[in-house]
Amino acid sequence: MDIFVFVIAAAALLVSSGAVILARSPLKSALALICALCFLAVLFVLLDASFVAAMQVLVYAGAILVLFVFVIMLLNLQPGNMRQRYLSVSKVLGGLAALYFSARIAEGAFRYGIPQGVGKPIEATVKVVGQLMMTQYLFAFEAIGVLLLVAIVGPVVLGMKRLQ
Amino acid sequence: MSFQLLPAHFVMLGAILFGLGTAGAIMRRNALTLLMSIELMLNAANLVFIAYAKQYGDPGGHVIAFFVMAIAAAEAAVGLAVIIGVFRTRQTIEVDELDALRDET
Repeated sequence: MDIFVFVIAAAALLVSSGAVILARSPLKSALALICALCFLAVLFVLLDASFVAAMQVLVYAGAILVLFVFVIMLLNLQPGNMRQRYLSVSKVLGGLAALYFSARIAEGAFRYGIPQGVGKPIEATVKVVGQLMMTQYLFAFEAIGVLLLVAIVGPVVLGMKRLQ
Repeated sequence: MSFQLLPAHFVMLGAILFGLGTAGAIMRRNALTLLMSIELMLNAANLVFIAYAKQYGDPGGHVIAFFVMAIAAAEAAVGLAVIIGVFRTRQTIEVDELDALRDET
């Protein structure tokens, strides 16, 4: 049963990720990215991470992508100020470099400690993850809080009309 | 059951997803699509974190996944603000045309 869900979700994930990088308009890319994130949440559920999956849909698809779509609507890009697609040497070279890069990552992963075996079932409820976040990972948690504060103040400063 | 679902499959999928994100980040010249490709790469990392958490039975990977999500949110907020600022002054978000620092000689 799991394997069917995995195959379907993984195929849908790859198709929608391909649509993200191939779609002509940024809005279509953003919508494809929302689909990709939802399919990724399905994969998280398969990996016993239902809390992360819920947060993936709520925070990522719900908040971050709404921000993207909002900015795309705000910029209101006309076809005139979007350059037409063309295939250049640098694009081909870039694509080949990306392929080589990810192939090397996969090769390294498989050579040095790809996980073997089916894994252990984990009880990753909100309680467990929350306790871990407040004890073992407390410093990282606080640092992320400061980072988010900077990320709140930064856009406000950047968005000001005039910096006199 | 002849074929079992292993965490290794998820790691492989994560590598492919990261490759797609890298290709998008290198090949696309639209700043918005570029940011979305970076989101894809961050999500590939998340998938691998969760897969390894399952492999070792350690929910610490889930905590790291939340941190990655928070960093993605911060990156999206600041990046989109920069894109809006660039669009306001240059009327374009094609990264090829943002060459103010290029050496013209």
